Amino acid sequence: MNALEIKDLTKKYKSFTLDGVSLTLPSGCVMGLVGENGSGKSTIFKLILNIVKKDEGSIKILGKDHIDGGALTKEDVGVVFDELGIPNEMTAPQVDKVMKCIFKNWDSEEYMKLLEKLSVPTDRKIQKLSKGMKMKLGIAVALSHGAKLLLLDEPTAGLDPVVRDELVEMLYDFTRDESHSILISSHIVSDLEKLCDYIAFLHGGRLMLCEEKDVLLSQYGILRCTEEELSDIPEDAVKHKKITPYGAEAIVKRDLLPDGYSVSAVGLEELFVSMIKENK
Amino acid sequence: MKVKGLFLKEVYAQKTSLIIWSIAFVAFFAAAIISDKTWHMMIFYCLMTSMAGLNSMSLDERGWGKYAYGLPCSSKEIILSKYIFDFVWRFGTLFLLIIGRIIGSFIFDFEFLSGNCAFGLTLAFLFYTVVYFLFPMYFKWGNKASVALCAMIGFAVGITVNILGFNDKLSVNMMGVVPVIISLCVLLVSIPVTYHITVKLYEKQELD
Repeated sequence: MNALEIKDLTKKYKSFTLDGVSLTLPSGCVMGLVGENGSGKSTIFKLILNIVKKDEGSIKILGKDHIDGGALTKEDVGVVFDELGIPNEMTAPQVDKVMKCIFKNWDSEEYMKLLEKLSVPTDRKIQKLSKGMKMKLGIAVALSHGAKLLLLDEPTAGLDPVVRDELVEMLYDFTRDESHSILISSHIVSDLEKLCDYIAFLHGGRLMLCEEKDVLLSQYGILRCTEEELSDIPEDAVKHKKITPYGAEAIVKRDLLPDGYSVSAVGLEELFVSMIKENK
Repeated sequence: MKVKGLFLKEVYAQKTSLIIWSIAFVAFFAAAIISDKTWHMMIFYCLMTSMAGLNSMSLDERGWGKYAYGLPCSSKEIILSKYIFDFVWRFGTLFLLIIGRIIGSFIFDFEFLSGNCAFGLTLAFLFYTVVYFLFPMYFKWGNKASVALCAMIGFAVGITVNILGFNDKLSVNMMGVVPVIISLCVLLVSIPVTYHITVKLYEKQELD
């Protein structure tokens, strides 16, 4: 079964349109949504949760329509936004009391264990917690009610590298269960590179590609050569090029490259930037 | 059960304000026991107690509104929890005031439902009715609906000045039992009506 199925999703605003996006996230997989500011990443999360109403298309969460499935579906979904959302006046134990009533499968023991593991203070109001601690609290809540699908919209935004790494580790642990899936968006592509099985590139409200990360990375490479050598390569093979006084650097499609060239592995971030620039 | 959780969230989110208002409430409670002539102060008591409900409608602007869409709760449960929270606080304190009044009528030997008391209750019920109609506005526009609240404060001050200046004139019409019963009926009708309006607004809203 697919954890998430989005078909032809469209949402029109005055100045922006999310245009016919289709995504499929198989159970047990992690999909990263990548795109610059305003590309439609957050809009997709809002549409999945019905925070904004879709104009066209369909969304299925764990096989059920995202609206008709209602509360039953949301029992299986954990959500973390870039802002925690839980009132600042509350403390972590109070969050436990509230969530215990809201989620059928809420596991207080697991929640307290996670807080301890993540060193989240339990005696302070949320407003006194740092941004990183708030995010850890949000993740602890999302992981304490037996969620099968995590929806994470920019969870690592504004966090220092150490906290980011801890969060990524936690999410990695979550995905060890084969029925667990994650849809995550982030500007920090290196985080996604560590975690994701699938990568979806969004640009200007359109899905440019959705591909398995390993397949994607194996299709492209970085070629470092002279400007003259680069001019001999077919244009189709060159995704993006940069000429400097020291030579040329290009992101190339490996299968279109003539034999004899030595290509090194490309990072997701370089690929992402090249695709955005190519489409501008 | 879910409503209980959402209710608890409302209590925790406004705990500090509730403690401060509870301390202020002690003054109103004491006044209800010891004096028969302080019921024109009801408007100020109503304003104070109405803030909790109005805040619960507008506080959702600060992130919780979006977060709540990720919870397995229906729109009705979310709005109902706010109404219950408001009801318990407003009518709970009003009930305590009435208890204070009963105690006072025994100790100081004044009539329980005197003209002053009846007028105070009528004002409270009418004020509460208006506050219920403010709920959907606060929910939709958040603190921007404060304009409406300011208008109500003006109304409150106006009424109070009126009472202080023209008490005898007002007592002719407003100090009986009939206005109390009518205003209570209007209030009771306003609760389900405004609840349904707020639920509809919740279902139609789109957050940024």
